[in-house]
Amino acid sequence: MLMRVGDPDQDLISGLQAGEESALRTLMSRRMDTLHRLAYRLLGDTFEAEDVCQETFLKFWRAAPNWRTGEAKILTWLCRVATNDCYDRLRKHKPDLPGDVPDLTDGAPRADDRIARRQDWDALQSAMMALPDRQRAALTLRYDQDMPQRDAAAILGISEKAYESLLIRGRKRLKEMMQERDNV
Amino acid sequence: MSKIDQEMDALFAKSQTPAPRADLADRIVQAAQDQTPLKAANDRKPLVWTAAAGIAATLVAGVFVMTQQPSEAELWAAQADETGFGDLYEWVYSEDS
Repeated sequence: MLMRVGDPDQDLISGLQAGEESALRTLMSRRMDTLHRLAYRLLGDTFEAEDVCQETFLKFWRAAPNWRTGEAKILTWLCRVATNDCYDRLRKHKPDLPGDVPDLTDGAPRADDRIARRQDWDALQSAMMALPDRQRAALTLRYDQDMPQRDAAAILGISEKAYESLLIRGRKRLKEMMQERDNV
Repeated sequence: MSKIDQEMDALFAKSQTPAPRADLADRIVQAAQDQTPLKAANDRKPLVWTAAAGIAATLVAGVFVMTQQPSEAELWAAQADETGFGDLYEWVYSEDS
């Protein structure tokens, strides 16, 4: 038996199912920043994070007519889709870590973008980008999004215990890296 | 809240992330107008129907294969034909015998 979940975005479902643009705009005004921040933390690139947001909202827009109310929160679904999209992008193009020498041989704009992007990273983002993807996702869901453990585990598609374990390892590694940076 | 949680909260609160560009919502709405609805991502009905169709297809294929197998008598007859006993069988089962 499926447990019914309360969803703060439930008021938008009928509008989204009817294809109302205003409902989509309201959903974006509520959740865009959350999704963009999540995607930015994972990818380290604000423009690519925007692409992830666009893809995610469009997927939901297309899926909304058959959305089964009460089975999942819209935000959880959005975050899960966005996270998976980020993982796919990371697999295709592993971002440069701080200190890596970018490939400038062809002078392509992409290389320039990478330099600009890295310059934008603050200390935390630089350290985050050096963490494994899943630890980075766990940390941002917990400390950027203040996501309940159960929802965060659902977003990552893992058990709450596994999520807690990711958090512990991620916190430890992140703290070490920040301390190393402070000592330099 | 544990000490490390407090440290992490402070670290993340201090860290700035860029905001999406202001026209992103407009771009998404523009793209949404060209979209057609898909099946819901949390709709499990298609999975159930796909699984049921797979099981049904397997059963039908199994029955078909079973019915296409030659009977034991047919196998013996075929074997006899190959080994030259066809004439003998014909003689045994003919009306004259």
